[in-house]
Amino acid sequence: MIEAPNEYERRWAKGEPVEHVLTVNGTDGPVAQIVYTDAPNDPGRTLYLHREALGSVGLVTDNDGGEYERTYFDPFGAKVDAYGAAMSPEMGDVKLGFTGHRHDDELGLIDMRGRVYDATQKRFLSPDPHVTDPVFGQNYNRYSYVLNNPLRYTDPTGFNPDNRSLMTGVSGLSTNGQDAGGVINMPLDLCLSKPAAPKVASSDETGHKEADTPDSTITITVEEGTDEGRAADNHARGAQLLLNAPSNVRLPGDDGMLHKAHGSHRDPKPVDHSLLRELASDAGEMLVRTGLCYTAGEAGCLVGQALFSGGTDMIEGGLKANGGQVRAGARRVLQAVAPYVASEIVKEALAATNPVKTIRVTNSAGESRDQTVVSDQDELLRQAEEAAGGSLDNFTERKPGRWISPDGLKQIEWSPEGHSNTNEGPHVTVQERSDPKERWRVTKKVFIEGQREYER
Amino acid sequence: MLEQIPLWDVAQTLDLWWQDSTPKEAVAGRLTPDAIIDRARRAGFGVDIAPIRSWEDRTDEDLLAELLRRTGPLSGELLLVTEASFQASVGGFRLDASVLGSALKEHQERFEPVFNGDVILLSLEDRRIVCVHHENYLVRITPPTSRLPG
Repeated sequence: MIEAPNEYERRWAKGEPVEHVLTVNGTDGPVAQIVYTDAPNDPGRTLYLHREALGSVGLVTDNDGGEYERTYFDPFGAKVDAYGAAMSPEMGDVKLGFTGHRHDDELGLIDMRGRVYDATQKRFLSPDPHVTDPVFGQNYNRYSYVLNNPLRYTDPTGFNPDNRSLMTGVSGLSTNGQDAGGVINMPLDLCLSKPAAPKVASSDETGHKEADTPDSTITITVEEGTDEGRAADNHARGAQLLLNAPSNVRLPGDDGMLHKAHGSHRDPKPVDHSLLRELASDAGEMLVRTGLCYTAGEAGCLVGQALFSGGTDMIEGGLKANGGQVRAGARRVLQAVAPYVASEIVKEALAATNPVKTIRVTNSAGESRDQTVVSDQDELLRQAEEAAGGSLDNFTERKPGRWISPDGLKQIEWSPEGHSNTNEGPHVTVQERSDPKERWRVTKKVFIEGQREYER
Repeated sequence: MLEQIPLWDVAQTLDLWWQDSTPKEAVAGRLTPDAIIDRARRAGFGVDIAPIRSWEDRTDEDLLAELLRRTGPLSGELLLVTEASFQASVGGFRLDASVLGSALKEHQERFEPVFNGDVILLSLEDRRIVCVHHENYLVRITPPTSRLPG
């Protein structure tokens, strides 16, 4: 289905006739190029673009259906031959290549609209101006291409990795965990508060359409034909499917998303749909309303992550590789939401994601002591700074890693590496006394969860 | 009884023992039990680390008695570095082992208890080092054993 040709390119080389190239876009990206020259009697030619799963133009055929060009790309977009050997980045007559983006032959770069991408370095030339998914650590590598996961995502705008299956409109309900998170969380999950189908107004004359929440407190405007608009439609459909599913049916995405939340691929647990509805409707709405996020979609995504990651199962089940990171991100979101949402679920999730816990331990001398356990180095430093009244700068570093208060009554040891000789992991020790001539007393000892011992 | 000396003197004494003329860390960084243990090991000194009951609830006298019981008697000139040594214009201390008990009292009166975190005691006579690590460990460091050829 062809909407309209919307790209025109004029190519000119010394001594050659000017060439006019019109790119014809379908609903899923470019499908053909019409090429003609200023030369008299040039009938022009139409080249048909055949795109593979990620949207890269792999095969170009001519009017007769014969092969005109064939191009291969490695996962990060460098041009290779059929056997995977590196090739010159120069493209043929069709400059659209990797994931449908335009290649610049002279520079050997790919124009991804928002940013320019270097397939050789597998990096963008400039950093992403915003972190679209703050709860995912890979997102903080702002030069990286699609979270370093090029077989799964594309980047249609140059700013935001997109899951190809969601963008193509194949199905509102996707088949893997990450997608399911999107389905649950994205813009129109605000509609989850009512079982009715999301109300999507018809297009107006400007080509925009509006999707209203059931109580009309929020209007999300999406541009028809844009990725966001298509995604909104898909997500709404998917969310509705999820909502209508019988509670004893486990949808494909449920397990996957929980796996992600648990950082594990074992022991899937069922999703509590009622929690989803409440948090998504309350917190998602507030996030959008208060402008804490760029788009409703990002807001929904954050809330969903917060909900999943904030479950008590996450902690009880033991944190895996990046569990602490996810939980810390989820907590940040929940903290942002909490002032606006009078929800028990948010409180519960906040408690569950609290990075500070107190446990009773036996020290090297066999004595029983209270210890505080935090999730990561950031929280460890925060504990030290909190003990120093907000900043260690308020204290004097008397010897390496040891800060003392101006009145000499409080001492803080911040040891981010720990002590190899006494086999102690990163820690903070707070000592206090009531007179500068008295002996110190340890009033607080903080370790990082799972790192009580020195990591050799 | 307690003669105050610059921390630099203590650090330099240790540098001579380690035969390390180009230490990377600043003086304060070289005078922690962890730094001393690491450099002692590199220099081939013997290092023994054992837990002790927390210094928090004990007196200096009690701790000194345990220290001497576990390390053996000390004699001759000693260099002492305590937590107070890192205060401005205090520094390390030089004392004779025979007056160790009364030196502790003097330290308490002038500054604070001796065993109040990290404590480093150097025996110049036999190049032994005794440290109390603030995490409640007693550290004994002895010079490399000289072996006769054959």
